Amino acid sequence: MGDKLNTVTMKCEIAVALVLEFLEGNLNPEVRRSLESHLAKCQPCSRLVATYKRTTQLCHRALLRQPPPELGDRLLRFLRERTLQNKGE
Amino acid sequence: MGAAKAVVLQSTDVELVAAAQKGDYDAFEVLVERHQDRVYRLAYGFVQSASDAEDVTQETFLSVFTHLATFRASSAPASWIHRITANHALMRLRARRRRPVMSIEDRPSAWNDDGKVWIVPPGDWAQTPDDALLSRELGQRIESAVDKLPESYRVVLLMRDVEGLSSEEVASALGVTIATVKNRLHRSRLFVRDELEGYFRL
Repeated sequence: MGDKLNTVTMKCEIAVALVLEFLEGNLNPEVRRSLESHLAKCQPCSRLVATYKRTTQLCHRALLRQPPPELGDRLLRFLRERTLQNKGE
Repeated sequence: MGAAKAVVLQSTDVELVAAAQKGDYDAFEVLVERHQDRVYRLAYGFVQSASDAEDVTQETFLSVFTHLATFRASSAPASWIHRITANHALMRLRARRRRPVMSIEDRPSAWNDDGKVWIVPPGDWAQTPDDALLSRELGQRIESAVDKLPESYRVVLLMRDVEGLSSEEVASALGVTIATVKNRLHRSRLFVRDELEGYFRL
């Protein structure tokens, strides 16, 4: 596999550094085309991009914490006690 | 709900802050209700504890109330609230004994010396079915990986990838540049991806 990858112009190291801006659509057209060309020929980097994207989806699903349902009531009660009492209400 | 509160429900954040600055408490409460869930989740991202996250949420909105007069309409109220949340969460973290965290800068290089060939190429797990991805074990693995990140990296990952804030919003809340946010986000994602790579290889 090493010999095959050595024929790719862009270094994998550079390709990986560009992934975030690539996925956000921020690369200029020339750099984007160069990266896309690299990804088309380099399976490891192509897999890196796919699993990098998957990682962001997984983080979202695994780590989203819903507040307790009673948070709102407790919060408003706390704030009323701490703010309105000073106004004599 | 009173008629006045029903009316302010239709207001923009800027209008709510303006009304609250003039003493409209209903407007302040609508602002609280509108932002409380996100503030809680952001706080949780920092402090990693439900009770501390709720305390930070309370402190945040108390600060919002007491500093209403200082808010300037030139910035978005949401960014202002997120910045206050980050400040309170960081104060709470500093009050705790700091735990040692690994440096994600020192991880071994993934490729050989010329930067062209991967030493350990990524696996093919991007298409893994969602059922498998939602397993408890995997969820714990993700939590554990994110928990290993330095705090300044972890909060960026959570704000961007979990809360869905933009890089601009995260930069504003944390008082850092957009480039810093993107750099930390990219390194964090690569780190967590690497950790998951190990999981899927087993």
